Amino acid sequence: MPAPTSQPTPGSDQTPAPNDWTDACARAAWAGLVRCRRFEDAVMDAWRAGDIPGVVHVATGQEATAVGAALALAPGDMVTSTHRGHGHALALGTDPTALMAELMGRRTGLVAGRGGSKHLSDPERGLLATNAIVGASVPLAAGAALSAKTRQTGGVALAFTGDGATNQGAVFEAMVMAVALALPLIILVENNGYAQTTASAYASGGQSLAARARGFGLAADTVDGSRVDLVWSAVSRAADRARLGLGPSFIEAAVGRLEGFFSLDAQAYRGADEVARLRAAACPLARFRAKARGGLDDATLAAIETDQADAVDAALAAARAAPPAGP
Amino acid sequence: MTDRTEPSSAACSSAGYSSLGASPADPSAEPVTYRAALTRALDDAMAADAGVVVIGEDVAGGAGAAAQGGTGGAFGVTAGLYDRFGAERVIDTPIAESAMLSMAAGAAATGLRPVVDLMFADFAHVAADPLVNHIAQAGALFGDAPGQAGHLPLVIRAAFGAGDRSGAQHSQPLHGALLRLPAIRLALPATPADAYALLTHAIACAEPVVVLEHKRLYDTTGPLAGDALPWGRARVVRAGRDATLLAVAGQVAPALDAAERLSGHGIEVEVVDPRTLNPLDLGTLTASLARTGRLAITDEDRCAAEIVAGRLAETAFALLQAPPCLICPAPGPVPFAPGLEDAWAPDAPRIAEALRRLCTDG
Ligand SMILES: Cc1ncc(C[n+]2csc(CCOP(=O)(O)OP(=O)(O)O)c2C)c(N)n1
Ligand SMILES: [Mg+2]
Repeated sequence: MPAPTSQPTPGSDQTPAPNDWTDACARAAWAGLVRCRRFEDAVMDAWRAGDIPGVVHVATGQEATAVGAALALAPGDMVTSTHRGHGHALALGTDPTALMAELMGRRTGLVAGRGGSKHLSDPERGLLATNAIVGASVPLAAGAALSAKTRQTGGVALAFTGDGATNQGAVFEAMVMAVALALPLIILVENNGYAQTTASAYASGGQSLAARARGFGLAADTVDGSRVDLVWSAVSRAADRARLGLGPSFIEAAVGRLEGFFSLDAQAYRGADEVARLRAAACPLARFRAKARGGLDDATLAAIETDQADAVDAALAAARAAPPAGP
Repeated sequence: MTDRTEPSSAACSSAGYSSLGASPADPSAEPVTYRAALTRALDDAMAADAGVVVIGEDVAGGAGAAAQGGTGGAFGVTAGLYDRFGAERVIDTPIAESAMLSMAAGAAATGLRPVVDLMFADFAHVAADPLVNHIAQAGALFGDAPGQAGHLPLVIRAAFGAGDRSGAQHSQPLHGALLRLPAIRLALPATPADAYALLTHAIACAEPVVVLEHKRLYDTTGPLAGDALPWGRARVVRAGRDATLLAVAGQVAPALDAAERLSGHGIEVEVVDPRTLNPLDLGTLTASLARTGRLAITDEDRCAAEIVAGRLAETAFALLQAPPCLICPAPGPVPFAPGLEDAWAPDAPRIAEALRRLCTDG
């Protein structure tokens, strides 16, 4: 386990893919990555066109954490998520049409238009709930972990959360609880460097989030979150530990947020070159091509990409055509 | 720590109203937005008293660094304050509302006048312990220094309300929950002038005050200087003889709209904006009921309406010719989809229909 540095950098890990990363893994991962990217790009376009009410928080650039974690989980495992949860839902298998329809406030939406972008739920796919109260995904997942442990389902619970969210008291208390009760819980922090406009390093006083978690007694690791194979590997190890009754894990994944905090964000607080730099160094799609494609050739990747693009485009059209939710 | 002498315990009564900024420096200026009026109140109070500090997430909003021109909070209310007053007084915090509010209480008890920006009112519940067990119990916890029992010059600002497609956890009202905490003063400005005056008073006040800002109001405009009604005094926004309709913050506009619609049908509704729910101006409200004999309350927070109706039943029951009529959303989370959300909050047609029935007994 590498020693946590205070602020991990996405795009920094140049190690080869793990030995057990098969071509089947790579194929599924690529499909997930391109689906998530295409979906979020479509969301931003639809939002700009006025088809999505309110604001949205897209996870462009954070595809590898969603996809890698979902690949490592098993049926029956439960996931909680944040305000930035479209990719988590898609990676778990949520129907993109139902998801897009939810964002558009349609009757056919995932939760019938009642929730919107921040309030998704698809328990059959393992998505307990996304959450707009920052930090709350973690103690809720601890509850799902307690349920799995008590009911002896063999399941684990994984909480996606953000760097900013790890400063919440509820997250610290959940870590205390999970260690004391040896819960089968995985806390997967997507550290994208910011909470709204506030830098992660400012809010944590420069402290490593993983090191803080280790202080609570969790098995804590950092991972280059632009690498889907490495995320998969880290979550697989954490899930194995949890299933063996060895307790909770904390994974700090360094990711690059390629869009604003939300759709209205002018991003005056970060230099114009930062996103370009992240796109070059830490784009999960590019990183997959460079490090995790295994034996998949360009034609195979292109064919998968076309399929996924078609699926997202069809979802967009179907959602647009669906009736609005109304009383 | 503070430049100014401590306000007396009268600061929360109308007598203390003039302690800070009661006469805005430039009343002849152009109409301002509700947002700008709040900013101006903060700016003036910070200029007048070095003990006033602004605390919250992204209140500076320059990546937590000494960057000028930050976002100034999620709604832009604190924009520019960092540039003027610096990082010591415009304090970006980690996302930790519980510690934020307890810290602000401790700071208020030791010489500062913190103005906490909670962002969305829903987040107050993350900080329920400081609110309910500490700030609302200040009289028991912090003794009587330096001015009085419960001396805790703390302001909490928060945005609330439905209508911006924010969903269940970013739209809830808070005032009903706070009304059961009598030690916490509660202001809900509906106009830029009230936003300026009530926030100014709140900062000068020796007791904890929560100022709730309806999200729909930030871009509305009006003069900065109002009618100079004192703190705690309700405003009769429109006179009428048939029913008294109470509304605060974002409900004032649809209430007035409903009253105008009914006027064409021979029903004259008196619209009263209490402006503060704690204190509640029972005098003005009772006088109105004496004229009209009928009470309606429209509020996004049914609990708040129930509490206000209950207080009025205690003092004015004999004046009522009909049971109070509460025009409030159905129970349940604020929905996201526009069609659902618009049906959730009582709009002018719904308010008018309820009043028509109240005034015609069916
Ligand atoms: C309890 C609470 N406080 C504040 C907010 C407002 N808010 C929404 S997202 C956010 C930043 C979250 O940062 P992070 O956890 O790093 O997630 P990211 O947006 O970067 O994915 C804040 C402060 C909230 N939704 N809930
Ligand atoms: Mg973040």
